Order: sequence, then C-alpha cells, then structure tokens
Amino acid sequence: MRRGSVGAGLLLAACLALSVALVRRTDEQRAATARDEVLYLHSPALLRRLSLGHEGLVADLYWTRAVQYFGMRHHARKGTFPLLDPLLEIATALDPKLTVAYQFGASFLSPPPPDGAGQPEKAIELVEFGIRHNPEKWRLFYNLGFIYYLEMKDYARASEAFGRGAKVPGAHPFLRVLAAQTAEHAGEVETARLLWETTLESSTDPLVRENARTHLRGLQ
Amino acid sequence: MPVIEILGLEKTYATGLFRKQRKHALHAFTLEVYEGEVFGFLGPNGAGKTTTIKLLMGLVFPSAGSARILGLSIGDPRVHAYLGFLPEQPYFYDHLTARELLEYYAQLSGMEAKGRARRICEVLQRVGLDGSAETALRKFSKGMLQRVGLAQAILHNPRVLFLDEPMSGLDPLGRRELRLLIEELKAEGKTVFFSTHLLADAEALCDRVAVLHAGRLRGVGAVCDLIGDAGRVELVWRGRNPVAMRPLLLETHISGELVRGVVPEAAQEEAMKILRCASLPLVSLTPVRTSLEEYYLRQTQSEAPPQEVRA
Amino acid sequence: MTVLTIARSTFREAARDRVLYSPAVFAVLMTGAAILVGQVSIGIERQVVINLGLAAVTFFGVIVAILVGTGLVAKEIQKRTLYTVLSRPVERWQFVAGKFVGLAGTLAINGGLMGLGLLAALRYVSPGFSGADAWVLVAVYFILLQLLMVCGLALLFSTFSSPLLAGVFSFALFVLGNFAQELRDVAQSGAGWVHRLMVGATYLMPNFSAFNVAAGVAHGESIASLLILHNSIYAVTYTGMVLCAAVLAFEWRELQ
Ligand SMILES: Nc1ncnc2c1ncn2[C@@H]1O[C@H](COP(=O)(O)OP(=O)(O)OP(=O)(O)O)[C@@H](O)[C@H]1O
Ligand SMILES: [Mg+2]
Repeated sequence: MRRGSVGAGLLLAACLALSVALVRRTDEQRAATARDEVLYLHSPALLRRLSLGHEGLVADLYWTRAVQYFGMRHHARKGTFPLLDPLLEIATALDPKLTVAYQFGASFLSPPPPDGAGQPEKAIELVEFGIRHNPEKWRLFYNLGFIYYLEMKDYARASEAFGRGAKVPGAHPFLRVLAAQTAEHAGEVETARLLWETTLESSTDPLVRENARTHLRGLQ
Repeated sequence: MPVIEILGLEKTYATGLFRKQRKHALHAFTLEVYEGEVFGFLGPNGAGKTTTIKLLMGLVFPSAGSARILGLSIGDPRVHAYLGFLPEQPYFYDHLTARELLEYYAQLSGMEAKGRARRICEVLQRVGLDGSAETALRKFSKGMLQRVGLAQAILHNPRVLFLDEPMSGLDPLGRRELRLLIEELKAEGKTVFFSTHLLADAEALCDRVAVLHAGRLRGVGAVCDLIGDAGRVELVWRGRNPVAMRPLLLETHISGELVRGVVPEAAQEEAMKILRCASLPLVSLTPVRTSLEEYYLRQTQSEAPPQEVRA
Repeated sequence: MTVLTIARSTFREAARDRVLYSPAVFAVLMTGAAILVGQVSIGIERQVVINLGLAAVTFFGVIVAILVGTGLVAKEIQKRTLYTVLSRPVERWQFVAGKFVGLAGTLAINGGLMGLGLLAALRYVSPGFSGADAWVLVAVYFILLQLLMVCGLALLFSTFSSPLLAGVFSFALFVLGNFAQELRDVAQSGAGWVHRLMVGATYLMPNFSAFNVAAGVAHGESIASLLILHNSIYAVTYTGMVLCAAVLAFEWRELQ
C-alpha cells in the first residue's frame, strides 16, 4: 500500500515550497506597509476573565510583549511607542506584584525619545500604582524619585518620594541621603552623580549597571 | 491455479517502549490455497493466524516474503475488488443501521446502484438479520455484529473469502447456518480461507487445513488424509482381560463386564486368537481413525520439527 | 467516486454526532450575550458584537475542527472500523482525502451557520444593511480557512497518534499558528543553525497572522481583495501539504 507515496511526496514538496513563498510574501508586505501592531483587548478586566485563573501567566505574556515591543521599535528607531503604556498597564493590572514591570516599564516610558517613550507622567502613574500594591518595595520609591528628579525636574516631589522610601523597613540607607541631597542641592551635578552611583551600586542587573555607568561617564 | 500463494511471508513486530524488542509473530512460511477450496487455518491463541490474514489484507506489511491473491500482489489495490473479509471481533460504524452500513460498503466495493438494494436484502436474509435491518449497530449484540460482519464479507459476491474466526460469538443455530453458508459458497465455486479454534467445524467443512503454532507452520494437509487410518484397531469383548493379551494392548479400559482394548493393526489376528482360546465373546472390532483433534494436538504440542504433509 | 462516498459518510457521521450542534448553539448564545453587552455600553455595540462573535466562531470552530478531525479518524483506527473499509477497493489516500472532504464540509456548514448567526445579531444592533457586513463575512471566511488547516493537522496527527494526543498537538499548533510570525521574527534576529532551524520550523507551522482581521473589521475597515486571494491560496497549499503528509504517514501505518 505504498504506491501513492511518491506522488504524495512530490505534491508535499510542491505545496511546502509554495506555502513558504506565500508566507515570505506576507512577511515582506508587512515590513513594507509597516502597519502598527494592534492591541486587540484593552480591558484588563476582560483579560482577567479570559485567562481562566491564570492571570499571572497572561501578565507575564503581556510584560514580554511590552519588552519586545519596546525593543523592536527602539531598534528600528521609531521614536514613538503608542502601545507601550497600554501593554504595561494590562500586565500590571493582571498581576500587580509584577515589580519588574514597574521598574523597567518606568525606565522605558520616562526618558525622552529616542531612548524612551517620553511619557514621564505615565511612568509616574505606573509606579504609583505599583507602590499602592507593593508598599514594602523601597525600590519603587527610588524609581519614582528618580523620574521626578531626572525627567520632571520636580525636586520637591523627588525628595518626598525618596523620603517615603527611606521609611520602608529594610530600605537602602542611601535613600535617606538622597532625600536630603535632592532637597538641598537640587539640580546640581553632584546630586545626579549620587543618584546614578546608587543605582550602579544597588543593582545587580547588568543592563541597569551599564546604563548607570554610561550616565556617570556623561556627567564627568 | 492457486488462488492464494504465500511465499516466505514473515512478520516481526517491534515492541516495547522504544520499539527495540522484536517479536516474531510469524516465521517465514509458504502455502498455497487452490480455487474452490475451503481452507482451515488452525492454531492455538497467539499462533499468528490473525497476523497472516491481516498481512494478506494489506493492513500490516510483511517483514519479508510476499504473497499473491488471484495472481495479483497483495499490495495491488485491484485485488480487493475480489475479496471478502471478516475481521476478528468485527466492529462497525455504530451510528449506522445494518442496511446503511451495507449500502456504504456496497458503494465502496463499486457495486452497481441498480441491484444494490436487492442484494443487501438478500444478504441480510442470508445471515438472519432481515428483522434488524433498520436497527442502529450500536444496539447489536456480539453475535449480531458477527452476522453483520459476515453479511459485509459476502455482500459484493467476492471470489475469495477470508474469515477470521467466523464462528466466534454465534449461537449453535448460527454456527449451523454458517456451516451451511460456507458449503453454499463452496458450491458456488468460491474459495474460503478461515481461521478457527473449532476443530469439529474444520473437520466437517474443510478440504484442507494448515496448523500453525507459535508463528511456525506445523503442517498442511487434506483433512481426509490427516484423519485417515491410524493403523490401530479397537476390540471390545465381554469377560476378563487375559494375561496373554496384555503385551499387545496400547490402551485398555474396563467398565463392568466389558473390556475395551486398542491394539496395533498388525496384532489384530493374534489378539483375536487369544480371545478365541480364552473363549471370551468378542462384541465389536473397529479400525481406529485419528480425529483432526489428535492431529492438531500432535502438531501443536510436540516439540518435534514441523512435519510437512503435501496434499 | 470512492472519495465522495467516504466524504458523504463522514459528513453523515459528524451530523449524527450531536456534539457537533452544541457549539453552534453556543456560538449563538455568545452572540446573544454580545447583544446584552452592547446594550450596556454605548456606541460600540457593533464592535463588541463583531469582536465577540468572531472570537466565538473561532473558538467553537477550532473545538469542532479538532474534535471531529481527531475523533473521526483516530477513532476509526482505534476501533478498527477501518479493517473492513481498507479490505475493499479503497486506497489509503482515498480514505484520507474522503475524510478530509467530509470534515471540511462539516466545518463549512458549521462555520457558515455561526456566520449567519453573527450577521443576524449585527442586523439586530444596527438595522439596515451596511457594506461593512460583507467584510464580516470575509472575516468568517478567513476563520473557516484557518479551521480547514487545523482540521488537516488534526487528521495528520490522527494517522500516527491517539485521539487525545492528536487533539493536543493540533490545538498547540493552532495556538502557535497565531504566533508564528512573532516566533519567526525572534528566530530571525539570531544567527547560527539553531535559529535557522527555528525559522524553518515556523514555516512548517500554519501562519495565521494574515488571517486575523477581526479588529480591523470591527472598526469597519475593508479587506484588500489581494489579501483574500493570498489567504485562500495559502490555506489551500498549506492544507495540501498537511494532507500529503497525512497520506504518507497513513500509507506507512500498520493497522494493528
Ligand atoms: N501489534 C502487535 N504488536 C506486537 N505483537 C503482536 C501484535 N499483534 C500480534 N502480535 C503477536 O503476534 C502473535 C500472533 O498473534 P495473532 O493475533 O496472529 O494470533 P492468533 O493466531 O490470531 O491468536 P488468536 O487465536 O488468539 O486470535 C502473538 O504472539 C501476538 O502477541
Ligand atoms: Mg486471531
């Protein structure tokens, strides 16, 4: 019963070749028209229901999508990131304990283009949401103060954020120093240096450390 | 012309989790079945009967060797137009009624639309299902399914029939009907190849039988030869068992007055003389014939090398 | 002829399996739910009905495609109903082709009914014919094409694994099909043979990225006729490829 095998094999090869060609064409067209990505579902509440009890997993997926979205557009030098905030919002709403999403999300959202989305207000909203759900994470206060200081140039709020963070049990002792420094020496190069040095010292993430090093080099 | 020619057919199954072990289901064997024969395929459980039939039907593929049916290789789809097949423990689409199932099979067999409905009624009647033609097969009993299986096997008037344990599941009446059916098929000139455990049926129906044991062909022969003269006679007499008789006897059985003894054919005269001398009255003298059962047991129990009997 | 006979019988079996109707009923219920949602929110009834309706058609369509695709084929192998079919003048490729045609017909009718239900719901929320309704039908057509591919996959997996495994495999590929493009993007960003192998694998998966037009259609966007042609050809070639693979697998399959 293996008489048809040769015919089936040939037809299979032909179909495979044609379908690969068609898929490549789709890919090319997509690159040419560069239609923006679409976010099909905007409502975290709906997504929560659709995730059938696995919000954590869906949140992780959306966080990954956010990272990829940012990475791809950043790489392509697009300059705008319209879906970044909604993606982050969904990810964090589904899983408010997803602290990486606040920390890195804020650093994607706040810097001006092309390094970030240039939406520091959105970043602040995001981190504030994170603080409400994770008041024990001193690092979120640190992120918040950072955005106020560097992107918004709102030194009073920055100092306040560092101050609130310093009260969190187990907080890094530098937060207290930062609170004072930002209040008294607002806008000085020394303060900025201190901020980046703290980042460099307190973080273990190689990307974050590299970024801090770059900024420190720039301040010299 | 042989209708079925099996030439060194062999089947090895790969078993085990990683398909590393090999299971020799069937060792190479050669067999011919001729036109118009009713051929019995005998052997204990696991002997390889079903495997052989599945190989012939192209459901599994031989590891070595080949086979031809009606001169066509078993891989040739044309051959299927002339075959009828009843699988072991048949199972059918149970959402269909018996009539719908047969209609479907008739179409698949390429039967003309014209005579189809009539032929289906005829076949249903022949297997005794005309009363249940419109019942869904889901509601059929085991024996009824077996009958449906028979119906679909003979539906398209095939030249060669392969029946895998056709008697199983049938009631005594059903068995008798099936025996009649097979005899009718033979009378119509069809070739019937069937496997069975029922030696009495094989003895009554078959022209020739083959005995398979543990995947090896142990013997093939015409039934009339196999169950022929055993070279022994049975004597029954009244009274006692004389001492002089004892060395001659192969078997003795005493019940009340009667003594039953079996002696070799060569010793028949001597035994009679002894009885006459002892003036013991002889009741009967009959030559012993081997039954198929004895032949079967000899082939399947002895560890002796397989015996080839050519018919 | 043989192929059509098998197709007709397959269709009949699916139709008699009442499991098949429940998803259609369910889809109608979903659409009913959409109408309720539409009444609660303002101004986006059409959008909600289209989005939810198309999602329901996809969801239930995929379930039916996989259930009938694996159920009818793997079951025939497992229950040995095939023995008496294949001992007739039926070639194995004819069996695969016939099964597929029957299943495709079942899916088309099932999907078509759901599509009609969706149109009816649309008529309910926005009376009067709108040209955009045609695009909704095209979206349903695209879903049907996806279902055919999934059904082909279910059939392929049925030829060499159990019904349950075949169902799991085909569902996994349906999900992957929606991510195939992203996966390829990720794979293409790297180098080396692992990445090349991954890119190759994404070509073997169904690529559904061009088929998901629900969001656009919900906003009343039109669909380029070139895309319709392109997707149709792709669905046919992909399904053809999968069916050839199924024929090959089945020709070599021993029915034990
Ligand atoms: N799919 C399979 N995989 C492995 N071994 C198998 C397979 N099918 C059959 N066998 C083995 O092949 C041998 C022959 O089996 P077969 O079914 O042909 O026996 P049989 O003569 O029909 O027995 P029965 O009288 O019980 O029906 C058995 O030992 C069986 O274990
Ligand atoms: Mg058997």
